[in-house]
Amino acid sequence: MNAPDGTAHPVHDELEHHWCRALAVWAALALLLVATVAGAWLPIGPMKPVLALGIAVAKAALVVRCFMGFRHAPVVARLAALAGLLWVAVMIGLTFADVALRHRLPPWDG
Amino acid sequence: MSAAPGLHEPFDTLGRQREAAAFGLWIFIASEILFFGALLLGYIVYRFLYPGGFEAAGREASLVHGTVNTLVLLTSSATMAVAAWAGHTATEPEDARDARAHRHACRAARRHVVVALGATALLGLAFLAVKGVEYRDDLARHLLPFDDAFPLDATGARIFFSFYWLLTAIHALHLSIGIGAVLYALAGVVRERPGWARTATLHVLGLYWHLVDLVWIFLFPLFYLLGRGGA
Repeated sequence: MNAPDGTAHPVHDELEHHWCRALAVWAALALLLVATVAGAWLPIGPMKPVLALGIAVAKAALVVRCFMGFRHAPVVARLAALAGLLWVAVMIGLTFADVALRHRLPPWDG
Repeated sequence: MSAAPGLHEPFDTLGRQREAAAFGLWIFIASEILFFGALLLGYIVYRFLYPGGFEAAGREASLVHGTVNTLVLLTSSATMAVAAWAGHTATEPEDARDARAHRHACRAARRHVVVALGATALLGLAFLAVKGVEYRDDLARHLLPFDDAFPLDATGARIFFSFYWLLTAIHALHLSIGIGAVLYALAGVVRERPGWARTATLHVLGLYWHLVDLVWIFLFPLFYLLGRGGA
């Protein structure tokens, strides 16, 4: 980390490296933004929301992994975040098991 | 070992304190995932029920403002990340038992932290300014769902705009809190608050800021990309 004479040039290298790393991630995020806006005009019909949300998930993964340092977070912290995702998945999954199928069932004639 | 700058009760070491702070913020993130998840679920259900109304309403959202703001917020996340990483660079040498190296690292990192935090706050304010202009245009076009002159007839269009106003306003509130927190932390670093480089302040602040960015990453395609191009 520091040179014996205390000049510690590696610190400056490390600080500059932070900017380069952020720039690289930012460029990837900006590319994904261009892709998602362009994708809104593609003639792919019902696949449009799937593409848009797929790109949103890719962007989110970049932010969580590169900017938030998810992999370096304490294990309990990662479990806490994943618990949030799990419960949202349960909530959305169960709701759609109801809402999406309700229309396909024949009318109830008791 | 006593009274290290920035160390608070009930923690014995700064390392434990930092870990606890990060854990607390990740729990907060989980609760925010559930909070926004519930609102997004409402949006998804109504979009499923009224696809035509949502397409027609989505076409009215300002794609230019939305796209510019997405880029602004993504950029602010990059500068926030630099601030947190630079703070980490200043933290590390504490284990080297070399006070001089630590002071040097702190001095060098401080400049980067100040520039990066300042840029983050400015970009956050720029987002709010663009959002304000967009809100003004929306109001001029009577896009409030309870406006008598609401321009769309399709069923579900008003529901789309209920979610639009609710979610973008809650997001803007989160961002405003974030800007306040960034400016508070910036003041601490500028005034060289004791132990600024050894606590988890910058790391935790970064996690919160990225969370606000994450929320927008999902709001953008849901509100700005509907009904573009052909079918």
